Amino acid sequence: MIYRMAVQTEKLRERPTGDIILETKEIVKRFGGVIALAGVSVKIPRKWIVLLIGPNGSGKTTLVNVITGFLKPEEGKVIYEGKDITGIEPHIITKMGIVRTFQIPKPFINLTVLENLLAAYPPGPHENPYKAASKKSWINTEKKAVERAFDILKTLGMERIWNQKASELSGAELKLLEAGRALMSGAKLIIMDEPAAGVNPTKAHEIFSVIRRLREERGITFLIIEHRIDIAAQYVDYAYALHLGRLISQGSPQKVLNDKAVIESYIGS
Amino acid sequence: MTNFVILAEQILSFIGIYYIVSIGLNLKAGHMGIPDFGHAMFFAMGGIVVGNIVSHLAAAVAAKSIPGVTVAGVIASNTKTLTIMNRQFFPHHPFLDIGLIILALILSTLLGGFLGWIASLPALRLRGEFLAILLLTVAEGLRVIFTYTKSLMGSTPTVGLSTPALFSWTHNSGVAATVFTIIMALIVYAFVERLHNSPAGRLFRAARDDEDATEALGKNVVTVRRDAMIIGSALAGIAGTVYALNPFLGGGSVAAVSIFNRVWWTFWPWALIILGGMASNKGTGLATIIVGVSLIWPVRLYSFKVAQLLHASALGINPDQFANALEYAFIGLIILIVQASLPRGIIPEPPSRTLPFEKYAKGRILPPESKKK
Repeated sequence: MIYRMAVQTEKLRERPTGDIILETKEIVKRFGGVIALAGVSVKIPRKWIVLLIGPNGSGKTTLVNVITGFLKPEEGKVIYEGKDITGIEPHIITKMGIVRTFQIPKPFINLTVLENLLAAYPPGPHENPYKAASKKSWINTEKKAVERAFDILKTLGMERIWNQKASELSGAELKLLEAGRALMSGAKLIIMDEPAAGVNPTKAHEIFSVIRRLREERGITFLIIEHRIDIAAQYVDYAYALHLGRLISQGSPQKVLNDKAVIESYIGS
Repeated sequence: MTNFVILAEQILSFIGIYYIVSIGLNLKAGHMGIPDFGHAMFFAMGGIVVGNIVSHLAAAVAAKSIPGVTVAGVIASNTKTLTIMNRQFFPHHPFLDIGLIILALILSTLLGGFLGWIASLPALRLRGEFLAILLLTVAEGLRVIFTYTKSLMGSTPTVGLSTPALFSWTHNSGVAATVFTIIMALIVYAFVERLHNSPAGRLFRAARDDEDATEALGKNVVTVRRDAMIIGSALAGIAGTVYALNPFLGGGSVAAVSIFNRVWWTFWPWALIILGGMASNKGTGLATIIVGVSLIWPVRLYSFKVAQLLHASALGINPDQFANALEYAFIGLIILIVQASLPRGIIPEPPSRTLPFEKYAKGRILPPESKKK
């Protein structure tokens, strides 16, 4: 039985199936004469951790920018939860549940870990400064926010440093803090740009373990850009490989990593 | 004894007024990171409300019963009209006086906030030193316009307008004005502390630390900056009104040279918030108290004597100017000492404590290690 299930999961991961949370259809993006994306179609199933790899200049970041609304594609569509979100303003896409973390963490440096999370709570009337003097106007929302923040901190394994200032955190902790803020803002799909960059291997494994935990405990979907494929491959469900704006391989991470075309794209042919 | 009382009143008035004006700047510069070098212009709005608008309103009422008082006379023969009203009208109408004080506070809040909103329009587009220079020049421009507009500041720019003595109905208007100043400072303190320890105050600080990240979280940084500008400037407007009402501060008159004074109402508040700690309401308070006590008591009292002792006049220096310069040297020295030992200010920026976080943490975080202990 267990064996069969394992085989089944393995089979499932051969192609993206089930409830698709995000899909891009034949995205084309040009910068002047340069074709950054030449018809890229990816599918991201809900609660999957999907890896996006490719050498520098292959179009990974461009694809993420198109998905998050920072760039408008010349052709193609981005479908999120069944809705066409192509070309919608970034902050609206954020509100819809696609949140992106930055390659270089952007914490609120003078705020504590807890405050960083609380500041990420979805905007609303509780943040009206003209009513701040009346505690009634914000106390209920704030209580919910604090509860949620401590829950998230626990999942991230950061609950003990809740009162530390962001300026005192390590690189790995800052990356987790970014993920925490994304969760706090109500993200369903978190797009992480190189979560393991500039972090030692032990910490990188820790970060990916936390990502797995977030998927298990909170049902979050992840799209991860990562150059440290050896580490990432152990944790992700599915991988896409880009090269020169085209999808050259997809499938289980092992399959993609051993794909001749992928290896050639990295070391040159 | 009376000397001591007057000294105490002066010190308390200084501390009160500088707390209000500095904390308004602290909200903009400390919490929100807006380099406002035009803070004096918002302060001036409060002075104009008292010296101009309130005087006109009072004259409209007084003109019916007191001979020699006309509404036009408030500007045309300002000293005469106000002297008559201060002697014959205000001491006998306590309720009207109190009403006018409240009205002046409301008007200055609105006017300061309105000017702050206008100033926030460029503040949303410009950054750093460009914005600082712009606000500084706008404030200076307004100062020149107000100085030479008769209908605003009277016919003699350096003398300005006499202020209505709205505390003359009390037994001792000096004490009353001082108490009023301190009470206003305490109210403002309570307000900014509540604001700091609210989600809104936290959002100011977050948007200051990283605008892109704040935008990425779906928050509108434009409105956040605008709100900080409006509230901080409104507080400066209140400070201006308190200044004009307090005889120890305004000296019974408001002139463009004093209420638009960029050294007093822009640079001193900057010095105080740097000393106390940016975005630290308690730190600014402590800095104001330290500077207020030491400046008014030993420094201002003895700087002229020091100037004489050093034979400043023999060196061809005006001893008055020399004594003034000693004040600047004094605050400069304090800033140097504090910055060298406490670079983040006397009391560094505290977190926004919206709720007793420790309580929440205690219920959840029981690490096995600490259990054993």
